[in-house]
Amino acid sequence: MAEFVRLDSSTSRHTMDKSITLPPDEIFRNLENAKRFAIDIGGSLTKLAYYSTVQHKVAKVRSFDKATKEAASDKLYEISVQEEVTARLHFIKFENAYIETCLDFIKDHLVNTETKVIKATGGGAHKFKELIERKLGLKVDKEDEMTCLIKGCNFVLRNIPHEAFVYAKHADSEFRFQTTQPDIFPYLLVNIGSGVSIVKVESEDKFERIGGSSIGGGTFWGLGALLTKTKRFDELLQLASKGQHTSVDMLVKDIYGGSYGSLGLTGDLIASSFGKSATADKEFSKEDMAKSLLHMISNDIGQLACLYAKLHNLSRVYFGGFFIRGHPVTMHTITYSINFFTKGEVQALFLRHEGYLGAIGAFLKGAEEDNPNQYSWGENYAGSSGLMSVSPDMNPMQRARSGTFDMLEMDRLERQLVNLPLLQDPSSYIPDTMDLTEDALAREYWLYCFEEALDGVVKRAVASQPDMPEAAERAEKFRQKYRHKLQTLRHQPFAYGSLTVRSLLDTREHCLNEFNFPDPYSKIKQNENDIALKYYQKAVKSLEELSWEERQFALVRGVLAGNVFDWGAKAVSDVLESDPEFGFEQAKRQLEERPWLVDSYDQWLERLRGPPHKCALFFVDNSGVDIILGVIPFVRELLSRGTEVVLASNSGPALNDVTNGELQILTERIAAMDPVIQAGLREDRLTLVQSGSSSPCLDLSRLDKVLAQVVRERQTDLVIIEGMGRAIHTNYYAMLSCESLKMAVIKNSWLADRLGGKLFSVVFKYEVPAGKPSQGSAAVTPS
Amino acid sequence: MAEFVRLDSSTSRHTMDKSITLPPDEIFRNLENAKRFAIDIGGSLTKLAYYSTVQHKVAKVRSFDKATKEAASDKLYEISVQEEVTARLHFIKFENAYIETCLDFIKDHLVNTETKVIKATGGGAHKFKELIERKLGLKVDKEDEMTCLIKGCNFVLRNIPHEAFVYAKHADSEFRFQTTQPDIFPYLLVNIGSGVSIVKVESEDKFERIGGSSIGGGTFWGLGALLTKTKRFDELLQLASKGQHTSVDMLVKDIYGGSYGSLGLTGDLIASSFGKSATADKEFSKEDMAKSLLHMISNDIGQLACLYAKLHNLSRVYFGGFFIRGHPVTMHTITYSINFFTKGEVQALFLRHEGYLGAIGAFLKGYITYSRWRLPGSRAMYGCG
Repeated sequence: MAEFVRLDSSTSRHTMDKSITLPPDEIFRNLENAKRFAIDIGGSLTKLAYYSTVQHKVAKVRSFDKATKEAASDKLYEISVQEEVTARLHFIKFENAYIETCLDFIKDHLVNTETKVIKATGGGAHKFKELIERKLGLKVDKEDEMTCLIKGCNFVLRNIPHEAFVYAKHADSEFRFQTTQPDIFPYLLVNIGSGVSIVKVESEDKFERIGGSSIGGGTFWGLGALLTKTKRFDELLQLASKGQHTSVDMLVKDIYGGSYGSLGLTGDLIASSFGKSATADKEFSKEDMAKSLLHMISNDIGQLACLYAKLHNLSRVYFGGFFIRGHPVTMHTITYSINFFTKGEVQALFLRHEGYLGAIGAFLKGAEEDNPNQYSWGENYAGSSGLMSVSPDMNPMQRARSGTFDMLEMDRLERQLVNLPLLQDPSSYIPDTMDLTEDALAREYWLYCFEEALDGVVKRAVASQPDMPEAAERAEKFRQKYRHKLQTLRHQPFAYGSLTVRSLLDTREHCLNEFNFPDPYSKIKQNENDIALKYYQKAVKSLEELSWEERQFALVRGVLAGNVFDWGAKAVSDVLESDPEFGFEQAKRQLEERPWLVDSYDQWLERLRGPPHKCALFFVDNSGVDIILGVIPFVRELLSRGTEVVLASNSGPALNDVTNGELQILTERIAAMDPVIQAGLREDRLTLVQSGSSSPCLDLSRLDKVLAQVVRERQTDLVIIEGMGRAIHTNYYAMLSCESLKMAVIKNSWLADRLGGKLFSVVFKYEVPAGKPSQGSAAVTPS
Repeated sequence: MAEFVRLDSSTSRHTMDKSITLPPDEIFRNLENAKRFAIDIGGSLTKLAYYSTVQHKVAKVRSFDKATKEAASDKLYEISVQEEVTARLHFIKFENAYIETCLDFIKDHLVNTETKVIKATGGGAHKFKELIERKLGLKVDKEDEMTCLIKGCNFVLRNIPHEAFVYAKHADSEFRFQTTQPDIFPYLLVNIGSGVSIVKVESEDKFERIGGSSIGGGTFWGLGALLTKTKRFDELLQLASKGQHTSVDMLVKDIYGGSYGSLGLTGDLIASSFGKSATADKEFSKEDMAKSLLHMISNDIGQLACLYAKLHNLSRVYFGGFFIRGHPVTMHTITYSINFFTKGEVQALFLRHEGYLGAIGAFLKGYITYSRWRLPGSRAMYGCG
């Protein structure tokens, strides 16, 4: 059963506290536009969900009309900042004690009057029904608890990367996050509320409670209260974490003097829980009894879960419910039990947003007409509290604060995201090269690095909006927000899943968006594009004068040199800002001479002597020199060889990365002066697609659905990934089912050091999947 | 594990009582001819087994010789009473308190001097090893507990008709005996001692402990003692049989006001054992807590047994161990649990001679294994001890 929660009056020992003032900037954001409400009232916590719309400023690019071109400046395109409305889901968790205050607050701030109904679930829903209806004037519509729980679980598993984690108490990192599986079904959900429900989930709409047990969180609480006279659940867990179960439990060695070898039982195994208290006349300590009880219950649940998993042939088992929620003690004992009973075959999985499942599910039930499941959603790091430190000793302040209000925000993404069809094994694909959650040294460096860079980012943000006087104030708020996130991550690296360079970059983008700095680099990008475009024809011409072999090398060097132009990397942005004349040729001279740090250029050249590829998918990086003088000439050569090219660029802005909108215009301009590119576009052999991402990094498991479709239709047999963010921070180890080429210049000395190179070392990684002939299977004759 | 039994000194609260006199006509029969001994010492009871020969008078009939027929009466045949010697196994069960008295008695009456060794098993075997060796002058030879248990179980299932029974508290007859199956294998033995051992038995020599649990008889006893301050196992069961679990347990209807129909949960189902004591400030009666504890443990063991039976495709599940032994209360709750979890597909089976399994097994170990045995006539040699 989803949470067997006590409803009698003794439950809510906290009296309603109406005196607290809620910080409206922080919680209940966007309430004015809130449309649909759902509420999940548990034994002690209330989870509220609502759907709202957010007005963002977005930077749009647009070609000047030919007619008005004369009148305009010499710019290629104009940039305009527009208002865009996006959908966002808000989830707030607070103690039941605050429910009345919260309802009042909502009532006062709710503008939208279309809302008539609030979906409700959870054991406490009927207790507060009357209060909610009276306060909000909304009709409370009860939804089935288990259905909501499962719906919510499906939603987070599908939409939140790193939602599930394995708990390892003694590991370097307590939390080991799991990559999102392409198919989340089937799985087992073990919900440990007062009792235990074991639910097999086979598809979005099909689940079955295949088992359960009356020995659950309520038993720990109830028996614990009787044995120790301690009435609070948290205190009981505290007691347990300090106790020694061996003084209460009878172990195998207490009976046999050692192990029972012929049965494979070790001496330390618990033979009988509370076996020693049966006849010993001594007093047992509260701590020891609580610990013994905790072991007894965790082991029992673990064994039952394993047996049901085995019987139904399920390998993914998620644990939730108040017994688990954020308690390292119970996560540890359950994990231990599962490992013991399955000998490691099954892993106990936990969920970052487990506490929200019911509310999310209830919300989804009410929003069925909006069909939320047909969209992809993304966690907004800027508005989400993150997983709290579960060790109260580690960060008591945080815990106390988060105990009051915890938030989760999910943005509806414009595009539906899917796996790249060319991933060799989607279920084992991990985008990120380094897990900073586990690598303490790397974590320290990168957190420091991002904190250092913050002033520069703030400066640039302000500079990007010269006409707006309040920009400085907003930029300051951004600084505070992002600095606070960095501080949180220093203490709780696991707050948003695995900490990676990508998540740090993405969090920064989210925070910038939050304070209406949609694209601080838009003007810089525009300038760079303008300048680079002027050199395009010259660059192409000089390439054409080279012999075939010289040209191939020059093209690769061009891509690499272009990639040195990158405002995202600190070393480069310093040079660029101090020396605007820093040119393409200089960049080439900065490059490491061959042999490069990673150098499979010879194999690549050998491959080029063979038949052309059918279709190449190229994930591009920066604006300006990079895309125009580096990438496009390279693409041009591919086209000339008879290879179709799909250029994948970001859907939304991130640093100085070229966006799909910008690239559309740039390509048109280049086509106007280059017949090869023009023919490519006209004949549909050169296609532009958006990646679906707004990140400087690349997650090949969350790409635009259209991109995946194009890749499939064109029988893509070569994937090219360019730049540090996409080819080194992420995807360095990504295995593809076709040929792949990863090109990047290392523009960070720490990272260069890590990889055994130096600043401006080159990574040129050409890979052919095992078992495929390097000559490519599609033997198309060159045109 | 065949009985996880406490070994520390606090276990035997009964002091050795040497003053009792044993009625030799009733127990330790045929001791003069006893040849082979085995002993199984549990947490509170000792089971002794020995092999002896019995002299019977048997009535024989014989045709008259044709030669002598003339001289005899007109009877068809003659009847004569003769002495015949048959083999018999004796098993005696007594409280550990009497062990010294019993050993003395045996020593005094043991005539046969060929016996050099006594097979021993059970958790208490090593505790009393020295005493036995000193009193009887026999070498104590320890046998593996689980092996003995299984051997004994196979033996009674094969040799004693109506050994296994189903328990039905409210039926006309509480005990419904099962007919002996021609093939006793495979079966599941759930031994509920201090902890629980779940053993799959596939043939005479092949068994495997496929599972177990630390929530067993010792947990009922230990938690029960802490909750009720009642230290005796029997008294705890007494308390439990008088209690109401619904005042301590949280039922489905306590949460949902009735059944949870869409999940198929009836309102009376226990949602959370001891769930009401988590937050209610009232005092709970000893009886109610003991009852709730009994339900919790029985249901859990029943569920685990069912899951293991299903996983290994076994339909015969026997329950034994001190938690079960002769206690209608626990037999009832275990039966109820099995019925609930398997919807009647699996029946909980109990054994008439469950308490003797270890002793029988230890005796058989190294001695006669393949002979056929039967219960001797109407004399309840295996009767309740």
